[in-house]
Amino acid sequence: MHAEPFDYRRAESVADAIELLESTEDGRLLAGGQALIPLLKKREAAPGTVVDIGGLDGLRGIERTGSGIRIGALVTHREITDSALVGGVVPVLPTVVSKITGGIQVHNVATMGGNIARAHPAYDYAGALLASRARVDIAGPDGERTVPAADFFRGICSTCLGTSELVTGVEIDAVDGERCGGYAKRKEPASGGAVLGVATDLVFDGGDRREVTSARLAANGLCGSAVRLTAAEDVLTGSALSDETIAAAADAAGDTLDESDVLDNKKASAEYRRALLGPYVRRSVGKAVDG
Amino acid sequence: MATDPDDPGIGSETPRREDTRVLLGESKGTDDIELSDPLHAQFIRSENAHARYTIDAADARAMDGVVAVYTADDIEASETPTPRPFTLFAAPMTGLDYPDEALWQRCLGAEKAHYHGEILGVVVAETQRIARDALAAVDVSYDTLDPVVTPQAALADGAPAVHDDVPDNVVFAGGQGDEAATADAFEQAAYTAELHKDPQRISPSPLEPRSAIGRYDASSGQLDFVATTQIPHAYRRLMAQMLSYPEHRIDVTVPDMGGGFGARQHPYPADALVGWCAVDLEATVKWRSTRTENQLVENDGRGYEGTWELAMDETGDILGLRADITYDLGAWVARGAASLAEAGNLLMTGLYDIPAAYSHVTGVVTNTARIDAYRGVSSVPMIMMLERLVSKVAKQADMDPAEVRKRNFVEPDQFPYEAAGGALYDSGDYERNFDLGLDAVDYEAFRQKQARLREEGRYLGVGFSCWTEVAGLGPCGHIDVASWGYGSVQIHPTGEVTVYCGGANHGQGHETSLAQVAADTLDVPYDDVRVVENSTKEVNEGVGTYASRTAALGGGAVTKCCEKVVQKGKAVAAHEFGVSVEDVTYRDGTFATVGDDAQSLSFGEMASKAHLGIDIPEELEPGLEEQTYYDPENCTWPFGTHIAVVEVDPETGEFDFQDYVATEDCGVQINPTIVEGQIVGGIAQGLGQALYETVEYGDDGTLLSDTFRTERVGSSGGYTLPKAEHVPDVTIRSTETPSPHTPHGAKGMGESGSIAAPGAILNAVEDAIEPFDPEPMTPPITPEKIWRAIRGEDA
Amino acid sequence: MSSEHVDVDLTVNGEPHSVSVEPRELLSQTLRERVGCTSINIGCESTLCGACTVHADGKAVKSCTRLTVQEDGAAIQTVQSLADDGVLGELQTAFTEEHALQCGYCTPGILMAVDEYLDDNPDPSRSEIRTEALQGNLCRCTGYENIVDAIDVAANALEE
Repeated sequence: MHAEPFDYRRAESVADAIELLESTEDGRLLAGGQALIPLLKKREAAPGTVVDIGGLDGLRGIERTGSGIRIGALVTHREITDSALVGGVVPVLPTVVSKITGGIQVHNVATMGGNIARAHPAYDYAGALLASRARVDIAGPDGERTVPAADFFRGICSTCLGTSELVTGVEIDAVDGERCGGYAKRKEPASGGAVLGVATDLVFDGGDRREVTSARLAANGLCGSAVRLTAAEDVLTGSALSDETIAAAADAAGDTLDESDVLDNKKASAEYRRALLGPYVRRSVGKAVDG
Repeated sequence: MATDPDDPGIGSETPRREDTRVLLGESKGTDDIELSDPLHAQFIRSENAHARYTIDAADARAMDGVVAVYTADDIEASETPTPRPFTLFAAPMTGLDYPDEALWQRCLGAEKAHYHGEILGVVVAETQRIARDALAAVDVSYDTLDPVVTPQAALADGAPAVHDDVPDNVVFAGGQGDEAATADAFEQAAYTAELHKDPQRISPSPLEPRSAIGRYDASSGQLDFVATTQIPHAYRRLMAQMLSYPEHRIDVTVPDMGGGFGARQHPYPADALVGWCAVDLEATVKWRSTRTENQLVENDGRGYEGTWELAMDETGDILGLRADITYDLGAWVARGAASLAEAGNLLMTGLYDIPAAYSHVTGVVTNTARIDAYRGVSSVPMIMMLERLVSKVAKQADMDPAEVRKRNFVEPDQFPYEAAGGALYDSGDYERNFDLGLDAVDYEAFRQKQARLREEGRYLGVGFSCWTEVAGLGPCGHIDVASWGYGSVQIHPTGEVTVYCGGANHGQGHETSLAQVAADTLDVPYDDVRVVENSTKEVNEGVGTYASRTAALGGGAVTKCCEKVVQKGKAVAAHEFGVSVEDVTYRDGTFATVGDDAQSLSFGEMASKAHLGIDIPEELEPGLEEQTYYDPENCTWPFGTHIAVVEVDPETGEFDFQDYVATEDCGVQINPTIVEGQIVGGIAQGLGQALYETVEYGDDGTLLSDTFRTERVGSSGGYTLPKAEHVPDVTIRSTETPSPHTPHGAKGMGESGSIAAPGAILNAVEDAIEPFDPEPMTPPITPEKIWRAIRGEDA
Repeated sequence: MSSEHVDVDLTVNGEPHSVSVEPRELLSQTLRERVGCTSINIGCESTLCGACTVHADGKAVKSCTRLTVQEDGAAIQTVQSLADDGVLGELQTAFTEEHALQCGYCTPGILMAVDEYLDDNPDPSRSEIRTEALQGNLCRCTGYENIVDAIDVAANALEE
C-alpha cells in the first residue's frame, strides 16, 4: 500500500524525458500509471526516479495524416473508443480497446503508449496493431525511428525500446474498401487479461460475392507476444465470405504456429489455448462481418 | 399494520435505514474513526511456511518515528502479561476430543513460524507509512523446515510435524451417525455412487480489510477496542482472557464494517496484539491490514476432502450416506474449527429421509493459515456432495433426478424430524417448495427441449441442489459457549422505543428489520423505534452476528421483550381502568376495556404512567424496560432448492446460464427484500466456489493467491472474486413454513446461496455434458476442466 | 532515501486544498488522511475493486491508482457531491429503493463510476450494465442483481 520512496520529475518535453531517463540509473516513465502504480504499491517495482510524461501535450491527440491516422502515445483508451475518426479508419482498434479490462475508471486515464510499452502477453492492444499493420514511432537519445508493430513486440513484457527510449505515437494507414474489425476475447476472470484474444481486420467488397480483398488476423494471449495468424489470412483473402470459408480459416488458423511458443501456464494449458484458437477465429471474423 | 407500506412491520419490504449514511458518504468504518495522534502498528509476518527464525530489528528501531519493535522475546520479557492462546468452541455432540491446548492458536509464532504470514513481531510507529517503511528495515533470517501443505502430505508416513507435540499431525478423529447401520444399508443397496472430489478451500474476502484500534487510558484503566469483528461482546471476553485484563474495563465498538461472512466471527492474533501494545505503551494503537495481509491470514473456509458415498434401493429409496473426510485445519486449531465438523454432519442427509448415515472426520494440521467459519461452513461440502451423489445415483438407475428427490423428501407429518446425522429439523414442506422451483424452470418442457437440442449438437443441462442450513445457532449447551440471543427494549415516557440487540450489524439490515419486529409486536409506529447494536458500551450483552442467528435469536429476544412490555402495559392499564388484566385488550396502539364502559389508554400514555411510577400497581416497579436472554429450544432449519439451467459449448467448455431459480423457506420473513438480497449474495459466493475461487499454496507453503488481481507472468491472474458479468439474474420463489418454536415464527437465513449454488451449478454442467460420459469434476470447474471432461479426461 | 515533497493544489467537492506530499503518496491517501474523505474505501491493492473511485476533472478514476502529484490543479469530487444538501439524487434513491447495498463498502465507488457511465450511456441494457458499467467495480455482498436493477431504474428516471 505504500510504495518505496522515489524521486519525481515532470518532463517538460520529449527531449527532456529522454534526458531524464539517460541521467538517472533506474528511471521509469509514468503516463496513466495504471500499469506502473500497482507495481509500485506492492513494491514489485522500486525505481529510483519516476519521470512523469503526463503533461506532454505533444503526445496527445489523434490526427489525420496523408496515409491514415496518427495516435499520440498519451491517447487514452476512452479517447480511442470515443473517436469517430479512429472508428472510421481502422475499426478493429476501438473494438479491441473497448475490451481492455479495468472499467471506465481505467479507460479514462490509461494510455496507448503505456499499454504497448508494457507488452504484457495478456494485454489487448498488440493484436490490434499487428492486424492493422500499425507502425510505432519511437524517440530516444539517438533520434527518432519508426518500426512495424510486429518488430516492436519482442516477447513477454519485452519490446525493442532501448533504456532511454519512449513511444511517441502509432501510425495506421487507411485502406480502400469496406473495412471492418472484430475482436473475440477469452478473459481470465481475475485479472481481466486475455487468455486468448483474436483481432480481425477485414476488407471485403459490398457486392453479392462478398469477396475479401484483405484479411489480417492476430492473436494475443496465445504466445509471449502477439502473433499474426497468416494461415487463416490466406484462406480468407480472395475468397467469398461465407460460414464455410470462415470455418476453414478457423481450422487452418494454427497451422503456422510453433506449438512450443504457445503459453502454458495456470491460466490455461498450451493444449487448451490451441484448441480455443479455431472457435475464437470464427467468432472474431463473425463479429467483424456482422459489425 | 404489517402490510401498510407507510408503517412497516413484519413482512414489509421497506428500504433500509442504514442506506442513507452510506449513500451520502458518511458511513464510518474502523479505519475512518478520527483519533488524536494514534500510534500505528504493523506486523512482522513470516515469509516462510515452516521455519525457525531470528529477528534483527536494530535498523528499524533506529528509524525516526519508530516507537517500538517487539519480538516474541520482548513480549515475554515485558511486564504486560503475555497474550494467552485462543480458547475454542467445543463440539459436544460429536464426541470429538477437545483439541489439546498445545494446538490452540497463539498470537505469535514464538519458537518457530508455522505458516506463511504468521506474526513474528510488531512494529509500532508514529505514522502508518513509517511503520511500513520500518517493517521493510527489519531483518528476519530463516532456517527453513520442511512444510506440509496439504492434508495428504500431513498424513503421509514420515511427514514433518507442524507441532512437535503432535507428531502425526492429527488433532481429532471421530464419527457421527450409526456406522454399523450405514454399512448394512450399503450391503443391501441396489445402486451405490461414490465421489472423491473435494470442495476446495476458499477465502471469504470481505471487501474491507481487517482493522483494529486499541485505546488504553492509564487514569481509568479502561481498554477500549474499535474493530472489524462480528462479535463485540465475545471479543471483549476473549480479549480479557487473552490479555489477562478485567473484562468490565474493556469495551468494544464495531463501526460500519465492509463484510464479515464468518471470517470475523472470531478474533485474530492481530486484535490481541493491538490491545497488548496499547497497554504496554499506554497509548492508542491502530492497525490496518493491507489486502495482501488480509488474504494471507484471514481464515479460509471449507478445507474438506474425502470420499462420499450414497446407497439406493431398486425403487429409488435412498438407504444410506457415508463420508470419510479429512479436514484441513491450518497450522493452529482456530476457535470455531472443531465445532464446524459437527455442524455439517448434523444435516448431512439434507432434505431426505435417509435412515442411516455416518460421517467420519479427521482434523489435520498443515503449515497453512487457519480454516474457520465461512458462510455455509461445513454444510457447503456436505450438501454439495450429497446433491451431486443424488444426481449421480439417479443417473445410474436411469431415474429422473427430480423424482428421486421428491420420493425421498422428509414428509410434512414427520416433523420435528430427527435426521440420521443428529439434527432435529423443526418444520418443513419440502415437496411443495420444490414444486415451485420445477414450475419456475418449466421442468417437463425443459427435458423435451434438452432432448431435441442434443440432436442438433447443443448441450443444455439442468442441475438441482436441495438444501437446508443450521440457522438461529443455537440452544445453550449445543456448542459449549454462550449462544443465546440478547435483546432489551426501553420504552421512553413519550412512547418511543429503543431496542438493544447483542449482535453486530454489517450489511444484514438489522437497524431496519429489528425495528420492524419491535414496531409490529408493540403495535407502535415504525418511525418511533430505534435499534442499537454493535457495541458493548451501549448494549449490555450479546453473542454476535453469525450462523444466520439474528432473525431467530435477536428477533426472538426482541419479540419476547416487546411481549413483556405489552404485558406490563396491560397491568398498568388495568390498574388505571379499575378492571382485571384479563379484561384489557391491546390493539392498534391502544389499551382498552371490553364492554360498555369502554376506556382507553394510548401506548404513549401508558408509557408515561409507567415511567412516572405513581399510578401503577403496587407490585410493579416503575419504568418500562425489558430484557431477554432467549435460549431457543432448537436451531432453526430453513430449506429450499436451487435449480441451474445452463448451455455448454463443447468446443470450448464455456457455458452460459439460461436460468437460475432459488426457492427459499425461512419461515416468517421479516423483510422479504432483505431476504432476497441475502439469497442472491450467497449465490454469488456459491458460484465463486463452483467456478472461480481457490486458495492456492505453492509446494513450499507460500500463499500464491494473495491478491485479487496480478499481472505476474505465470500466475493464475489472482484470487477471482465473481464480477457483475459472472453472476446470472436469479428468480426467487418462497414458501413460508413458520418455525414452531421461535416467538415470531422467523427462522432466519443467509447462507442458502453459498450452500446450494455449488451443487446446482455442478449438477447442471454435468447434466449438460452427460452424453460425453464425463468423469465428475473438481471445483472450481473452469472451462478448461469442462473441455477436458468432455474429452474423457479426469478434471 | 527520502524524496522531496511536492506542492499540489486541488479542489475537493469545490473546496480548495493545498498539500505538500511525497511523490509516492496516492490520491486516495491524500483524500482520506489529509482532507478527511472517509467515503473513499480501500478494498484491494490491485486496481480491481473500484471502491476508491472518485471524479477527477469530471472523469471517474480509481484514486488508489493515481499519485497525488498527477492531480495537481484537478477538481476532485467524491460521493458527497452526488447529493444536494443531504437530498439523495436519482441514482442514490434508486440504490436504496432497490436494496442495492448491504455492507455498503463498495457503494460510493460504484455510484461514482456509474454516475459517469450513465451520462454517456443513458439507456443501457442489463447486459451492458453488467459488462460495461460495472466492469471496474466489485461487490462481495449483493451478488450484483439489485445493483443492476437500481442502475436500470435510475437510467429510466434520469431520462424523464
